[in-house]
Amino acid sequence: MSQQEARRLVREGLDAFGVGDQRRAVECWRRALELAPGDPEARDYLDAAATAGISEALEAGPGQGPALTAETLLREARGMLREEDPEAAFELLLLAGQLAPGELEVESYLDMVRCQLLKQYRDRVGDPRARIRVAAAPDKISRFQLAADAGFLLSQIDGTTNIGDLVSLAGMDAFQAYRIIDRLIKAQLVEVVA
Amino acid sequence: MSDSAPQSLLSFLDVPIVVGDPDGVVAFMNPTAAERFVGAGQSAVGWPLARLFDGGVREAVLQAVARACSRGSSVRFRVRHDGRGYQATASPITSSDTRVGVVILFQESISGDERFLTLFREMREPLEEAATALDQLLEQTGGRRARRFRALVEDAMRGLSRVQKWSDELSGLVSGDARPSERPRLDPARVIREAAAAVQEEYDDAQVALEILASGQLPEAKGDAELLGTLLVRLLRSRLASAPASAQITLSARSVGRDGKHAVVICVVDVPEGEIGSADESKAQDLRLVGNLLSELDAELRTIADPLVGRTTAIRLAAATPTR
Repeated sequence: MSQQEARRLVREGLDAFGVGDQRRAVECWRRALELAPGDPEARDYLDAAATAGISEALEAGPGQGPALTAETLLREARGMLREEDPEAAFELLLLAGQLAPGELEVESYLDMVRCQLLKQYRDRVGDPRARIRVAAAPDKISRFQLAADAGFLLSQIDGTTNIGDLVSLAGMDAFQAYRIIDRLIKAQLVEVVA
Repeated sequence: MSDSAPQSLLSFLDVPIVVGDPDGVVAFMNPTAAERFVGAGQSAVGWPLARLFDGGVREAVLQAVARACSRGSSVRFRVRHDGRGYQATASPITSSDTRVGVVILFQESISGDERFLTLFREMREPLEEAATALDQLLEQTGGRRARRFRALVEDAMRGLSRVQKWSDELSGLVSGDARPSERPRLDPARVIREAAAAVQEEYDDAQVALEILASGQLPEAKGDAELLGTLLVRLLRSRLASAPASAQITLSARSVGRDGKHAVVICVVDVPEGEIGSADESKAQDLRLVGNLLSELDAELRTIADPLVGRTTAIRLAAATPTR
């Protein structure tokens, strides 16, 4: 139940963010994280809000800090790229995309960063012919409050399917699939079989 | 109102009107219709509709009546009888959702329209001949040396296909047989797969990797698949021309938006050789490249170049309303 409420709050936060109400957005994500402490989406959005200086501006009170727009987020994202942190840039661009859906400059940067990140994920995950298997007990997995797509991909990991086939059969694009696998490996929920 | 009232009103019209019952039997025809189709002072009431006309006119009338009854809406068609051309409309007559007959109005057509239609018919044959010739030419350009010619032939075939399409549409509009304009829609995932397949061999020869990033569940988008395919093939070839060996070019498609306002964004991402240049320069180059395709496609295109991450040409298409 709390997980469902957390999901709802994450969506509500995105909606609020989309209409420029950053205060309500951050509140929603914070409440979502209180309800589901491991929720990766709520954490990502809060991290991105912190990187963009939204959280601090809100703490400072109304009228403090720069007005947050897709342009300011894009500028921040470029800054992250200069600092060679494409993950942070990606999170900021996702938020910018929420503020200005379909804005072609934001979408272009999103795709360029996706390509850069995909290369990194592939390098980290390794040989696509290698098999992958679940490496954590169900109770540990459930603590992570996985998003629906991550849960689906995890359910497809049977220890015999190789990474390349898993990505092809996931029904999502390669970037999404590799991003999830990379995160699952980092969280030690799955492991690549040598 | 008595039964005779509408009949007497219709009798004063100088336009032939024929009413058929659900069994396809003439239930009423006004004097103008009787004079033109049967003979002055005679009546065809009680005749099957099939007996009223001969040859092509009979076929056109019966087809239109059948279509009007099955669709439940009016059907426009053209016939020529006794040296006169008619723009006819067959409309179903319904009562409490039950079809009780059909009324056919024969409006004498303007000669200019007929001239247009004759011209469209004249155009169709040479267009088909050109398409056949290009097909044969394409078969002769299978070798690697002829790749450039094959690309030109493929461009010509796409262009011809568009001419045929718009010619048919214009012909439908003039003949009045066009259904309410339905905006074309396309499956973005399929279009990008086909565009990638069209250039794959060229990429292989140049040892440049072409990757597709698209989920299998993209919404349909507004626009013409042929046009978008042409645009993407041109973009991919243009990108290949500036790609260093062992480079990778990515063709992606994503669904974006919220609150019922959705779009599909298609991107071609690459890291070109040498200076990436400013976004404005590459934007101008791409706009020249795709010519007037964009305006026909009703899409928006933008190229962004950044030395930190590369270059992207992004095309935004409005998502089509889901069909029921």
